[in-house]
Amino acid sequence: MTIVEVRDAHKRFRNTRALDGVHLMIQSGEILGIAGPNGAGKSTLTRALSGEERLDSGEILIDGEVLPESRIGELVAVVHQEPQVWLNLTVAQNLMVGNEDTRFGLPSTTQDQHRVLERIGIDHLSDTLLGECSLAVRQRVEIARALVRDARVILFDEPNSALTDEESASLFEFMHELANSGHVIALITHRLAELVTHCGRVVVIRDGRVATELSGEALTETAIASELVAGETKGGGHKKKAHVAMVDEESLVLTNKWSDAQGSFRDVALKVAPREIVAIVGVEGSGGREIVSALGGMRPSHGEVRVAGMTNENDRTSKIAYLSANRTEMLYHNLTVADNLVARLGNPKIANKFGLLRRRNIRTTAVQAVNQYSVRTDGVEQMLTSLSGGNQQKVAIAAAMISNPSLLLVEEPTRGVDVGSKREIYQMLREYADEGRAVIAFCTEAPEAYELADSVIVVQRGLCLETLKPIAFPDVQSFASALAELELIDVAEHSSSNSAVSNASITSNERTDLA
Amino acid sequence: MVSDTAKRQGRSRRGLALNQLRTAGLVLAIILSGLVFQSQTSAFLSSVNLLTLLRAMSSLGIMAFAQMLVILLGEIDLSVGAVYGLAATTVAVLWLGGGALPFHVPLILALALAFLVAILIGAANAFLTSVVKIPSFIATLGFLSLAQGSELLLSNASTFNPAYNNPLPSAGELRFFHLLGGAQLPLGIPIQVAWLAAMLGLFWFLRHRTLFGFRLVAIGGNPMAAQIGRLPIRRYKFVVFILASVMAALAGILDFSYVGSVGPNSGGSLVFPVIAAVVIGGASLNGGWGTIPGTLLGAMLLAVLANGLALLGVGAFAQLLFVGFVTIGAVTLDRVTRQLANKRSSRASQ
Repeated sequence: MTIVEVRDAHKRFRNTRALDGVHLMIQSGEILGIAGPNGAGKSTLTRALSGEERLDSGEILIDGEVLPESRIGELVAVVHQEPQVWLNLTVAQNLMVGNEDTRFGLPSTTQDQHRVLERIGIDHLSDTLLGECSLAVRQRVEIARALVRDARVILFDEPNSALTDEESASLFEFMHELANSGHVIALITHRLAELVTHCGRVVVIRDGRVATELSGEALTETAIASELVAGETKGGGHKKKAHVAMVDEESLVLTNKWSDAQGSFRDVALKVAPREIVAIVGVEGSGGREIVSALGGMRPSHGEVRVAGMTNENDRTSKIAYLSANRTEMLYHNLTVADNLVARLGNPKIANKFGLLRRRNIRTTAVQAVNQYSVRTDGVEQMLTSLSGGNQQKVAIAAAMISNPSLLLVEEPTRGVDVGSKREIYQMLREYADEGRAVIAFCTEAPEAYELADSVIVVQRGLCLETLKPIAFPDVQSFASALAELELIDVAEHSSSNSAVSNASITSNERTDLA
Repeated sequence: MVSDTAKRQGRSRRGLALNQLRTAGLVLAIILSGLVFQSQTSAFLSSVNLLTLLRAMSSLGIMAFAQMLVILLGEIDLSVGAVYGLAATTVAVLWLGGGALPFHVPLILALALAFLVAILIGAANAFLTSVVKIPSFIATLGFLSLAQGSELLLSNASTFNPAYNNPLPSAGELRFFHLLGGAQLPLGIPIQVAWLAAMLGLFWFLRHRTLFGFRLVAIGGNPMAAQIGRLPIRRYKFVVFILASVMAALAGILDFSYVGSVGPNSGGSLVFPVIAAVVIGGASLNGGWGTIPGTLLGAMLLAVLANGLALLGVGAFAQLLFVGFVTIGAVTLDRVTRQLANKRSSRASQ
């Protein structure tokens, strides 16, 4: 019997409170679900629980004892979305790293390690290079490493976002088995259906606190969904009323029978009018993110795509600006705010025809952008790193807007951004679209899609499931519930082409599969 | 809000100060070592010696400017020393005959071909790095060996001396070739110093005043962002690697002209000082940071040490030790001050 208890945990990063008094108790035998919107403090809590992060105040007790971080690290293991293992070693060698059992000789697998591999069902792969194994096997190896060092607590952090259905099913089966054998198990995921199916109890974390705990009858997807968005847009209806695009206007973006080269999405037919903001919503691995990045020319795809009348890929890309979800991929930390803002420009905006820089133009362009988008800075000649995260995000979006594309593509426009900046970023995108251009955003959070978009396309398993109009919902809660219910729909019933599709996705998966 | 603003201002001002501190530190180091040498031997600060010093650093400086652009992109070019030697030998063999070739050609054509070879090597380095995606460390290490091998095969490892060659080149050609790197300008200024100044101006302009320089900094600072922003990354890599090779060839030919002869494996020992000068000058091997004035100062510090130690009669072998110490010391000092500054600014913002 093991009990993990978190008492009044606080943790601050610069100006944000990541954890603001979390109380939590997990017992062996149960699977505790942890849900929360992005930035609510889930990952900080995970890191604190596994001893990777020191709390500012509060304590973590394991069986009633406060342990030093190194000991916590031994007892608590995290199974990551992307397993932290060695692809250049074999499965068996992966278990040995750090547990070599010899000081000078060549380490070899111990009896214990063999038993763990057997228990986990991957002993037949023990001499295979992990780099040649599927993601599911890599994840099992991470679990096996935890078992070898006798970890009592195992936290699963979005473990199945990239697994096939069979692989997830067997992962969950194993998760239950671990719980039954006395381990403390927590599951952190965005997939509400899985929380309801596999967890006895679900806590919803919001703004660094445990907002609510659901169990028994009260534990339903719609309940979690409305808890997740509570506190956002308090009771407010959809603010934008008149933003219905003109029907007779020619579409700015049109796709037909458009598919990803690696199968992440299939047969996508998009139709986006000028002045329209479309949100693409889907969990990780649904293909929603891939639709946006493929449209931005960041991954190969085939089919018919027309943007602002251009079908040829090269002409098309000149009309599009793309922003990835990862802020560090979009900004230059070695440059000033002004230089970041103009980095996508060239001749004639910031240089003359001989390639000479026009410093004065850079400055005026930057000052204008900083004022227009209310980027809070002490001057455009400051280094980018002196800005707060929200303002850096505004700079990244403004830099894309300055290059004046007809279509702006944004992945998770407000990831890791405070509430105030969120509003301003939605405003920026709305004003940009209002000038006759279009914005397509990939969103993972219902409130964001609700507040930002004119229409919301729900993507599941690579297929566009349904289009929702936020304006038709009285408040964000009802919108979030509608999204959650869509998640329940089995794609197989929804689309006739699915049987061929799911076969393809299984065979195209890695060559080594689970026994 | 007010205190927040003040803090941010403080942080970025500190960043600026750090940059100036580095430049000031380099100038100080140059002056200090100059004073130490002067106190030991009064010959150091004579105008003749200072001109000698500048002339001696010209090939190092010219190569370092171009190497800085490569490093700014986050790449490295190890082949420049070998290209330096190959270019000089190519001119010698093509122009003077002998070596592995049964014919010879006019000087102008030989020079043009030598530069063509350099351009091809630069383009090949860029191709391997940006298209085949081999790390530039490996690609250019390969070309170091390839260029060295070609040089030795081409020349049969013999030494060439235009003024004593058989057959003797025409007087006009000899004179022109000598003027390239060996001429004296008014006031006794060696023409190599003028070459150095010209390249300093050219590269300073390229780096600090053009769209090209601006985008180099951006690409080197964050290649992913540059790709998302659709900057012409591949084209820039080609230009920069070709510049590095061409500058190496120029330096090799100028030194050949100044010395009056070229032997096997010349330039082989230049790679290290060239990269050291760039790094001492404040550039980061991760890309995104580096200036031409910094690189000039880095090259100058190395030149002052080489010159002063030679005046003291320390000997070439001990000089190697000094160069090693200074390079490691400069980079260590830079890292330590940066960490201190970071620590202070993060403490301040808490």
